[in-house]
Amino acid sequence: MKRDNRTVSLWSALASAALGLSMFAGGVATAQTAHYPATGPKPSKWAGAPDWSGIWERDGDNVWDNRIPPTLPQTPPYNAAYQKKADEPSDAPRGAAFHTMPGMMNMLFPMDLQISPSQVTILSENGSPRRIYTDGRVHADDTLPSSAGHSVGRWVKGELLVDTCCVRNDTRLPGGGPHSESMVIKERFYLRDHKTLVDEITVEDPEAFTKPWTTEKIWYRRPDWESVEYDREENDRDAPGAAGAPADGGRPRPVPEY
Amino acid sequence: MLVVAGLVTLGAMTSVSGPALAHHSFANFDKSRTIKLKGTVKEWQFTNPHSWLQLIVNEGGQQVEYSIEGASVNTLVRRGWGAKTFKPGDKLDIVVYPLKSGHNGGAFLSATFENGKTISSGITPN
Repeated sequence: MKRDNRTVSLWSALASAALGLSMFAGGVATAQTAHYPATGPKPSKWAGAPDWSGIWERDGDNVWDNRIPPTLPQTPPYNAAYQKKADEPSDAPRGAAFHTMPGMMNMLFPMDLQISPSQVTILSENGSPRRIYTDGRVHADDTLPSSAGHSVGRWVKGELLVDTCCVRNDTRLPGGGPHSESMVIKERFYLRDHKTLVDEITVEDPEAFTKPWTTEKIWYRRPDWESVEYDREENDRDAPGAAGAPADGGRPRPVPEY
Repeated sequence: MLVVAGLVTLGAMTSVSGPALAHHSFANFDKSRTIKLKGTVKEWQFTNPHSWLQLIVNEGGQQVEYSIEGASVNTLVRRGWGAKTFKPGDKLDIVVYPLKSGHNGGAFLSATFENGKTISSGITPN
């Protein structure tokens, strides 16, 4: 919006001073404002996209890459500095990777996928939603880092191509490894067949890795399922003993991870 | 047959180094051996983050209560389990991984009802 500062009213000036909102002071975009190219919002051409809305079951166990036997390590090709960090014990709670990109696409429970012209929403039963904007918005220089990062996507010939930046650099990758704030995640969602959805995930992080690395998660359509609540406080009891009372007086409570 | 399948399945799950059961460490169970328990259901807690089966076992004339820890509601409900899977009074033969501490508890592997039906928490076929 074009503003003429000479016409700013006294009330606005007072409000600006009182509330300390920079947006009143000259139209400066804040970090949580959606950023669009000069041409403005432009919802993706999604009309030809397959209808993927609904519940999807994760293939196999929630190991990171189903093509690699679970007994083998699954680590990206770190450079020396980040390999050293990867070998150090992590302060991050175990399981934390389930809530951050790219590990959150390895989610513990089924995925609820909801598609609209402007956004693809990925819901997990034990975590926060992930939003992929398909309305033409872009990453900004001041996009706030977050656990899920900032995802923008576009529909191309029935496939959803997603670009994610701005994942907090204190989060860990599946397996516990570190990454830098330069990490960019590129995803290609496509149907292998009517019942099978593939998320091909390529992680690029020139600060941490010697080269990009790619993995994939596979999902099966489950129209016969519905979402189930997961309240980890419901019965977070200790083992063992009568009716849940700790027989040994209780052991230290673990840090909540889900 | 089902019992074996359940053992193999859970064995495979727990061999995964962390991700599968990382949210609630099962490290306090001895996965190198299984034990069988014969008892009567006191209570079935079909809850999150994990389900619990309270089983009364007769040990030399003493009624001893065991706490058997199972998977989450979210996982089990998709394998056909529910809040009525076990009822108070049900007589069961169950197989568990025992607690390393020696306390009366274990990780659920399978249960056989009086009518011979066996259930385990195996992976849902896709």
